[in-house]
Amino acid sequence: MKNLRLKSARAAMDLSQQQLAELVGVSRQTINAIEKGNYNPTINLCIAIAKALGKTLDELFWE
Amino acid sequence: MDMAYWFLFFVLLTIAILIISIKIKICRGDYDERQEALHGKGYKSGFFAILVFFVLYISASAGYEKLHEYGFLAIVAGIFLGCSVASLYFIMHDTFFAVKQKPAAYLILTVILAVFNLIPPVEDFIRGVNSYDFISGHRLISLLCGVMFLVFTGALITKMLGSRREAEE
Repeated sequence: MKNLRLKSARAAMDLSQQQLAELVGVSRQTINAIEKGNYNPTINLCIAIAKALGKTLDELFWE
Repeated sequence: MDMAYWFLFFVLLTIAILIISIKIKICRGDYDERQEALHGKGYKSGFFAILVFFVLYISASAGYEKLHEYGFLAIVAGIFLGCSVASLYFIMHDTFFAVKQKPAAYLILTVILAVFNLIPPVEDFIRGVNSYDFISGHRLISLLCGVMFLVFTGALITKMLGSRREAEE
């Protein structure tokens, strides 16, 4: 399932996938895979993304 | 110098280059968690490709004895096949390159390797070397290696174009 909340949170901060990827230390393709719902990140990566976007885990990843 | 000494020299040189490149982190990149998870599947697919190839080769050579002559060639072809399957899996799943590696630099390398390996067999084709000399002169190995790098080049270009399109979305 696509993670549109992550995509919109990233867009709201005016960040590209590449910029978010650099902030959390992963490849751009990994951010793309998470947004498309093709990859389930570990809790560590979820926390890193949530911190980078200034959101909580619930806001970004809770169904 | 005897050929065996040259062989030993090149084996030691290759090992030294590998150790140095790993120490200064040329070969060992930093992969993220998704890439590391997919590496296992890629290696497994390469391993099973080799396994299936050798089972087929052994089955075929049991019925057709002339194939025994090409044992060395079959080993090399099996290794190339395994490497190709694993590498293509990595390239198509964006796990070949570490987070900070640039595919464009490696694209140049694959093109050079493809060209260098394809020149000798193409030369032989032009000169009209017969098929037995072609195989026994290891030109077929060059051809296989060249084709392998050509396929890598094609896969890299496809992925780079796809990646650029994704990033623009």
